[in-house]
Amino acid sequence: MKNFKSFLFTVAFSAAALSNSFAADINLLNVSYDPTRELYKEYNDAFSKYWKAKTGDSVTVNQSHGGGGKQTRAVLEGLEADVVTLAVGYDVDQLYQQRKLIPENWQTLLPNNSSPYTSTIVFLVRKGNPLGIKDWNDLVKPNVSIVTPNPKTSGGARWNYLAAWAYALKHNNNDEAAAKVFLSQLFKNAAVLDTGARGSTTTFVEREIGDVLITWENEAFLVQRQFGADKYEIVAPSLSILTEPPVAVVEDVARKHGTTDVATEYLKHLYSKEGQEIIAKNFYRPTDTEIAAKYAKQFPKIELVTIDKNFGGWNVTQKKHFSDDGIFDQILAGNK
Amino acid sequence: MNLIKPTLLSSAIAIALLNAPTVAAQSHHSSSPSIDSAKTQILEQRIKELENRLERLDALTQQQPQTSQSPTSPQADVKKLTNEVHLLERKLEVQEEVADANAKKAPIIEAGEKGFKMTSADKKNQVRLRGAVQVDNHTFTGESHLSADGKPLTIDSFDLKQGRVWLEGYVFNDVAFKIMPDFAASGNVLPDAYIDYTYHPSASLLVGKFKPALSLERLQGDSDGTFVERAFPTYLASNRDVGVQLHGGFNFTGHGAEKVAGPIDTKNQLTYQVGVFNGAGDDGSPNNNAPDTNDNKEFVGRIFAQPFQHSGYSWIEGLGLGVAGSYAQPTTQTLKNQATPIGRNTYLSYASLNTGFTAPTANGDTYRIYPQAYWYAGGFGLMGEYAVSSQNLLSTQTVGKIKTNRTINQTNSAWQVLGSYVLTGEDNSFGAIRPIQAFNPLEGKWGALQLAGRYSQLDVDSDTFLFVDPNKSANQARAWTVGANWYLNANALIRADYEQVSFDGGASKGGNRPTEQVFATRFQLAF
Repeated sequence: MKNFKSFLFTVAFSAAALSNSFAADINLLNVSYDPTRELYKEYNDAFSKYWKAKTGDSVTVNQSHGGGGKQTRAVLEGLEADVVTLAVGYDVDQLYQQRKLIPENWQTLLPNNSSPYTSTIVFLVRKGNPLGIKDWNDLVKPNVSIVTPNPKTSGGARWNYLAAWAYALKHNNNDEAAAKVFLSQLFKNAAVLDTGARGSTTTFVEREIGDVLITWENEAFLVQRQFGADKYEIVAPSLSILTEPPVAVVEDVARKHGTTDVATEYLKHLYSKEGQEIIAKNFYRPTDTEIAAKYAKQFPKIELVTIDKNFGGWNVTQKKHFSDDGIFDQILAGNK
Repeated sequence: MNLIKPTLLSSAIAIALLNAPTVAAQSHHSSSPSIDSAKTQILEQRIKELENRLERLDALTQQQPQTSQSPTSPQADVKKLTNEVHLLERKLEVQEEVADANAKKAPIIEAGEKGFKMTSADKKNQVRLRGAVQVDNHTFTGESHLSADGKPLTIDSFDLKQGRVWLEGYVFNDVAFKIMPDFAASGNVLPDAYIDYTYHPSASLLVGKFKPALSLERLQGDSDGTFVERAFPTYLASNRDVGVQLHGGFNFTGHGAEKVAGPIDTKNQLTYQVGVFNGAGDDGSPNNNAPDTNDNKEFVGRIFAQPFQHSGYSWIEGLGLGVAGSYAQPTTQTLKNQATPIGRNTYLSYASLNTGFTAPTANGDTYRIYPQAYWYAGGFGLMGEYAVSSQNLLSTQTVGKIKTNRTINQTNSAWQVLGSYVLTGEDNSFGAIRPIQAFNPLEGKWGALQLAGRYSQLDVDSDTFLFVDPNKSANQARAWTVGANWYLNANALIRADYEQVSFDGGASKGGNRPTEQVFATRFQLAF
């Protein structure tokens, strides 16, 4: 009997050792936009534990962050991202349009058009809101110093711009000429155009430049959490835009790395209860109705326009507003 | 009042500066790195000015009692200036970030001794503009050579040997190319035009028009040779041909093999070339766009080793040995006359024939064998090769009214030994010699000097004279050549050669063709 127990122990130990010896060490690269650092830091840890428990494999997820436009170009120019988690669908779609790194139907491969979370655009002002900023029309007043990133390099900045555009259209009977004048005044008040949203946060918070930061809702909450709610206030404008940051497996790269399965699961797990909880805790709006209801109080109620319904989708919007000589370029040229 | 003035001034500077959103927004896609750098310098300078003013204001406010906090008070001015400095500093940071991003995307443009080069920021694409000009002088001494109709052949002349401008480089890292026209050439105005897919050091695919891998001296760069012209063995190999060649290199000493584009690889320890060509015949070179006249192709192969490369024994590292060969079955391929190396006078003419014979052509089995070697150690250089070219020649003999096809097997052979020494301390090389000091007499710098000598010989198969008139063509040519090369710098050189070629046969009544004596100089610029 004693010998049999020893035998069983040896077999079990050997099996465990064998299984460990076959466990793989996997590396993933998630190329993301600027303000998602904290979200993915927490999520990556959770996913690594989940994947280890599920498969026995160790997965390390490396992060790369920057302005969404810049990050997209980096992937197009050879940065070997297994997954991208970018700010706007147009940028992700370029991976198909320009290099066929992802399938054409990438947006249908995951729920909610491959957007596991949403957010919106709000204002962050200094404590006491010295200039009494309440809505977009307050940003175009003289002597208001605005901090926002450059829409040419930042996905978040494009959302900022479009939210302002939607507001201007609503209050000018959909007159695009008037909206252009409104945006022109707004960008005249822009003190610095950083290359990414996190850069703008640095400008506003650490360098103490500007009266108002136009930023992602999650970024505004994060500033409050990190620097104190007694120093900054979040102002929810009367109208903003539903931002839908999409995610995708860069199949061409993942296939080369042999990481397709883990990369796919990495993104799918964002939709799980655990993933959605982490998303909500990092001030992104979860898409899971149960988790969304749980955290509903945390997010202000704002009238939200969408890129598809109000702007005709990203392809149309990008060409009209942000391509070379598009409306944004015309605004900047007029402000010279 | 004294405080308000500098404040207003600095505010004006700051306001003038702060079109910054426009600057930052535009620069990311339109500014060049140099413009970004200039903007950055201006911003840095102005920040320093503002900081200096701020320091002076700080000093003044500390000296004066605080009386009020009105908007025009010194404290308010200082705060305003502080904000402006912070803003400027932040703009500078953004500007630098944009400039860095632009610099990473900007192509790298270089101009140097190897031409003008433009490389993409990711270094996967490159184009080089290169060129070469060779201007020669030939002065014949000794006995004059006359053509069959009594016209002098040995005419002293200035010649434009080469006038080349070419593009070479690579795209997508692996696809190399070269397009080299020669504006001084009379017929073959595009000597090289090829694409080389260098996917792996051991296997690259070269297609187009280039030098077939046969004669060692022929494969040497046209600007890199030791004498004004190459020796006899070279002219038994095709000059250029159109075809496809698989080639590659290996290294067995722990040094990784290098990818080398083009017809010759001197960087790897063991190299090979295997190709299929239209077949151009001895010293042949197809004119541009000239189609092949038959389906038979020529197969060319070469293997070359530098067994002691990277061995650490410098005296023997530059030893290279190899052998090349070709095989074809041409159909009535036109033959090219053979000429003396430097004088370029025909001594074997397939147009001066015995009575009743038509001009012979190559028809049937043809092969060449080229054992070859070089050895470069310090200033010393030695190169030698042996060539055998065997071909079946076909001619039609007419006797009375009867025409008969006559064939012979012609096996010509040639060899050469070349020795050279660089007197001025530079390393001798199969490639170009790079002077330690460029020529600058006012500074006592004289460039590099190389002395060289060679012996070369070609034997014509005696069966050839069934067709060819032995009174007009020699059956053996022997050439002694001595020369000096003065490398003014990495791009310019002056050559001076003397060559004496003696012959067996080639004159009437069984006599020998007169010895050819020629003094030649060349001024060459190559980059």
